Amino acid sequence: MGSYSYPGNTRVLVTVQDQQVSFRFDMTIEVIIAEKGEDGGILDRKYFLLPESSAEELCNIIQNEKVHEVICGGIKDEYYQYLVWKKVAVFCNIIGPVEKCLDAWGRGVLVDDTIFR
Amino acid sequence: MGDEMDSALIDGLFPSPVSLNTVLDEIPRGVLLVDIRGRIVFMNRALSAMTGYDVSETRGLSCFNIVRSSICSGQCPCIEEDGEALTTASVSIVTRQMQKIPVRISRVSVRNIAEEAVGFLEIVEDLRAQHKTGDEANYGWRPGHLVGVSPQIEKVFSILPMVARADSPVLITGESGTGKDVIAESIHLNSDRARGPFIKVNCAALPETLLDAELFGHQKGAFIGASESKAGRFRLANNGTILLSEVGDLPSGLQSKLLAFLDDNIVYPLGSHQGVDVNVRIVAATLQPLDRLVQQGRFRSDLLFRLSGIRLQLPPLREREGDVRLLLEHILRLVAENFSKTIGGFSEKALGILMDYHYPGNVRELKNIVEYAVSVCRSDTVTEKDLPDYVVEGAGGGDNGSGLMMPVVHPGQNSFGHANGATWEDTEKKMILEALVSARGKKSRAADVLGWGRSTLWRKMKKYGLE
Repeated sequence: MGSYSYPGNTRVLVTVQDQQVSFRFDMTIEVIIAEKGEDGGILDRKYFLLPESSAEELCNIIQNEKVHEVICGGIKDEYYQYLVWKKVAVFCNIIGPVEKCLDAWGRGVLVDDTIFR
Repeated sequence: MGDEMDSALIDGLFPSPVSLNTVLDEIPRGVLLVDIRGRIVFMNRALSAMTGYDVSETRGLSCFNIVRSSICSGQCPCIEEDGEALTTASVSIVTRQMQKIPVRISRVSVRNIAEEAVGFLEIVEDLRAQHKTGDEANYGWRPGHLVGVSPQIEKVFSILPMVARADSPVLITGESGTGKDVIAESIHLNSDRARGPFIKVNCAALPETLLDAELFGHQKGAFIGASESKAGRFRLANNGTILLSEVGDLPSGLQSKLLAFLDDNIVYPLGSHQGVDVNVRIVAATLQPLDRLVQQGRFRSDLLFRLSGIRLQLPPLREREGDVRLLLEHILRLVAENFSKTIGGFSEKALGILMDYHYPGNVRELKNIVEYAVSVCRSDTVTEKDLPDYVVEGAGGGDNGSGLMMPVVHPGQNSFGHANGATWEDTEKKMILEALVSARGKKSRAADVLGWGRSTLWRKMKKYGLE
C-alpha cells in the first residue's frame, strides 16, 4: 500500500469473505486494508487476494503494510497474542458486512464481539 | 423466531406436551438447528458453552459465523443441494474465547411431512478428550500439554489422574505463569466429565453485578439492559467443569452466593426465585494467598474450606530442576514451526544465559522470551544477540542481587514471591514499578518483563493506582 499519506493516519486490515467479515482469521484469503484520517474519514483502501489461506502470511502482510489495527471474526489466541505483542490492536469476533464495520471503525465506535445485522 | 423456538413443543409422545428447547438443552453434545439457508434457528446449551455464544444473540445468523469450522469455507455440507445422507466430518472450530477445538460434526437434513428439506440438524462433538498429539510420547508430555520431568512438577503430575477422577472441588495455587489454567483443563480432560463442557471464568475481570449475571445467569428484565434471559456460566458448564480463575478477587457478595451453590448445587439466576439444578465440578485458581486473605477478612473461611477439597500448589519454574532446558527446547521447536523458521537450537552462550535466568514470570515468560528470540533470529541457531536485553543483563543476577532489571524472588521469600513481612500487594506493586522502570515506562514491554498480558498489567496498575 506504500507509505502513509499523513503520519497521523491509522491503517486497518479487515478479513473479508463475500463482502462480510470472514468468520476465521486463519481461513481468510481476501483482505481490505483501509486508511483513515484524523477526522475518521476513510481516505484510501486496497484489496489483497492471498493465493491460499494462511494466518502466518496474514501476520506478515499486517507487519509489512504497517497496519495498526485488525478487524476479524474468530481468531486463535496464538495469533491474537502475537499481533498484540506486535502492537497491533485486534477487534475480534466481529460479524457482519465489511462496510458497516469500516463505518463503525472510522467513527471510533467499533468494539470486540460486535454483531452487525 | 426466538419466541417460536422457545415455545416449540414435542406433542403426542408424552401425556402432556414437552418443551423441545428443554430436551435439546439437556443433551451433552452440541446441537444446532439451521434453516434451509444455513441460518441459525436454535443451538443448545452444550454448543453455547463450546462456542461461547448465547443462543439469543445467534438466531438468524449464518451458522459459519458461530460454528466457524474448517469446512465452513467452501465445503459446507449445508449448502449442498441434496442432503439425504448423514454427513460426518472431523474438523476444528475457533471459539469466541479464541480456542481452537477439534470436533466431529454430523449433519442430517430436516424434512417436513411433505418430505421437503426445511433445514439441517447438526451434532457437534468436542474431541478434546480423545485428541492426543504425537508430542505426548516425547519430552514428558501429558494430556493438556504439560511439560516437565523435575521432581517438583512430577509430584503434581503424578497425583493428577487421582485428582481428575475424584470429582471434588480443586483449588490450584501458584505464581503467575506457572500453568494453573493448563492444569485445570488437564484435570477436566482426564475426568469423567471430559465429554462435557469446560468453562473458564475470570473472577477479576468483571464488576460484581456483571459477574453475578455472568456466573449465575439472569432473567429477562432483571436489570436495565437485560433484554433476554441468560443461562449463566454455571448452567453452561452443566455436566462439565467450571474454572474460577483469580478466585481470590471474587467480591464478598458472590462469595456467599458461591458458597450457597456449593451446598445445594442449585443456581438462582438474577431476578428469579426459581432455582435450577446444576451438576458442575468447580476448579478454582489463584495466585493470591487465600489463607492470608481469610485472616484479613477478605475471603470467607468456609468458602476456602469448600473450595479446597483438593489443593494443588504449582511450583515456580526456578524451583523446577531440569525443566528450564526441557521447556526451552520444546517451546523453541513449537514456535519455530509456527513461525515457519528452521532453527535447530540455542548457541552455548545463549543457553547458558537462559539457564541462569530466574523467570519471575515462570513458564509464560519463558515462552515469551523464546517467541521473541525466534522472531528476531536470522540464522539456524538462537544466539545471545537474539535474546531480549533484560534477559541477558538479568541472567545470574539473582546470586548477587545487584543491578537487577527484573523483579527476582530471592531465597527467604515465601512461595507467593513476597518478602517476609511485606504484603502481597506491596510486593506486586513493587514488581510492577520495577518492571516499568526497566522498560522505561513502556507498558507492553513491562508486561513482557513480568510475563503478563498487557490487559493484566493494565488491570493491576489500575488496582494499585499506578496509572
